[in-house]
Amino acid sequence: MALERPKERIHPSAMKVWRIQGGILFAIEIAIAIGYFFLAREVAALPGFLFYILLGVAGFMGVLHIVAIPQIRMIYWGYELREEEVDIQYGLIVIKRSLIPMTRIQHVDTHHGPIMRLFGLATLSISTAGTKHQVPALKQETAESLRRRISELALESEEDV
Amino acid sequence: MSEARRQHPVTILLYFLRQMKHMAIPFLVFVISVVADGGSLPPWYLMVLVFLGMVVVNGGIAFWRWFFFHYAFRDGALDIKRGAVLRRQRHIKSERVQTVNAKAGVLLRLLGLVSLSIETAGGTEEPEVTIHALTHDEANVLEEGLRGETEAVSTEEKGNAIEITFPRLMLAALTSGGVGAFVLLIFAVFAQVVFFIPDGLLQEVGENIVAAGVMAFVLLGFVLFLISWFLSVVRYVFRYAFFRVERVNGEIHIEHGLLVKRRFTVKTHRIQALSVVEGLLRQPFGFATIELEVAGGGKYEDSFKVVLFPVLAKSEIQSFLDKTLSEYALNFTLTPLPKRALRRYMVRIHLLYLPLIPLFVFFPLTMLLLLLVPMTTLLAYMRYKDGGVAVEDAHLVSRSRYIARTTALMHKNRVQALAIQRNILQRWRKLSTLQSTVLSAPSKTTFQVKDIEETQGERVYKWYSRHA
Repeated sequence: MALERPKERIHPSAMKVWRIQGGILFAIEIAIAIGYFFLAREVAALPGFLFYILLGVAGFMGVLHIVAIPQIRMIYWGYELREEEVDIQYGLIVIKRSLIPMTRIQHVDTHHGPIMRLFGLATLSISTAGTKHQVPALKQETAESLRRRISELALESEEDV
Repeated sequence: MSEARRQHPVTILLYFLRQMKHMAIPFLVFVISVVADGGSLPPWYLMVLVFLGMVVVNGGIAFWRWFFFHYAFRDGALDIKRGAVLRRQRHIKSERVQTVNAKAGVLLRLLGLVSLSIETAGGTEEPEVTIHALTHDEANVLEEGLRGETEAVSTEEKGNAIEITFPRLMLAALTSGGVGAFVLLIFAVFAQVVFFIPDGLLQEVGENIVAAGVMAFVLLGFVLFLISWFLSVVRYVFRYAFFRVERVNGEIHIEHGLLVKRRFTVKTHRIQALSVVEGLLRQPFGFATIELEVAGGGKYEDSFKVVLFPVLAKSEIQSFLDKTLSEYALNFTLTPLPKRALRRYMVRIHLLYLPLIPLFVFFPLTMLLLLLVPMTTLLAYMRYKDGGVAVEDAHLVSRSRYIARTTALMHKNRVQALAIQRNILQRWRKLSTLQSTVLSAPSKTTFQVKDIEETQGERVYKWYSRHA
């Protein structure tokens, strides 16, 4: 009776967003390495070989952040909206599967940053009295209709609290 | 009680004493540091003058605060007005009140007064409103009003109060495990005192101890430990003496305290989970503490948990619950963790410090960490052995051990969200970690059991799902 994966997937452009974010991180790491290179030329006490190590680390992290991590995240991301509950799965090394009953949901909202906006995406966040859950990178229209649908369903389902 | 009224005038004294206390500490530090430096104090009449000045100023402020504090209960709501220059008003509707908490110290008890703290939803450490001194009659009227009670208290539900017996109180005090805090406190005081002892004397004492050898150190440590234990027992007895719990009309009333009397009232529907906590010292004797997670409300005693009963034999818990919180029952069958989980428990605990051992090359003392191995091995085994989950109709039971073994019972409708979590190794081993979150003060509590059977996790997930 294995649990099947939640049916819906997030938008494929999510990978592009994560890759751009990874690229920014990579650029910062390269900048640090280059900064060190010039610093080491001025300050004799700093060993020069450390520059190559920093460069290597930056390159490795770059591959992780730009290639591997977005790929893996995409494999695991899934969500499903049912009449009674929201089912969310995500993860990288640790995979987390959460179930949030409609009756417990206090508010839902959508928001998006500049990179997400570029691709017409938005993040949906769902809060209960004690917990907060997010579904990133949905098409803005999808996120908006989900938000409306969830608030309707959450209002309908009155249970003893 | 519809007209606005002030608190009992003794409040002025309470405010005054509290303010003086805040000022006394910096004052004493000043005096001690001057004396310790060998300096001379200002002339006595100046000090008396300063003191009198403090009395007048603080007395004035205390009177002012008392004079401009009014409370009134009208139309099912409590109105608080305070301040003259900076006026603040607060309007608390009785529906929003989560818990009402009464407390009376020695002074208040002598005068037959009590202080009331009113908590509303939205947890902060400080109570929403505290009325520092009012008579019992006023407090009763206010409490009943705030709880929205219009009908008279029916008598049939009365008379089932459960009280702690003296031997049980002593047992609970001796096994409370509150020694640690006092050991730290004593060392802190010790460190402060050493600071003020003249160097010559200190050296002499030090040399004597060294001369007396290791035994003296051990003995000193033992004596300090005994003192700490004694203090923790005394504190426990003062706090939980005359413990009494009663269910009245859908509310739980808890009362306890030797000198400082406390009374705590909570509506049963605000209770989110019940846990049976078996501390290391209590479990061997078959005793446990019953604690509650209550939504909203603030800090109660030292923690955010409410003690429903300090100590009960395990065989008594069921009948105790029948009389107080029949919403919860102990008739569940726990599914233990699969054998392959044991290895993960062992590895997890030892990864915390065994990787440090190779450092002995530089710091030989690191080898002492090896002494921990038997203890952590035992603890890991106990954690594995005690972990487990059960679903029984509408209840989820989650048992785990950090140090104490905690069995949490929660109603399906009280669980805010459920999650199963699996890392790479757990996926390979077909294990998962179950997390269930309930509301509590100040915001939430998550009960977690690591490395349950994967299929068991899925079963709980499906149980929690409302989807057919």
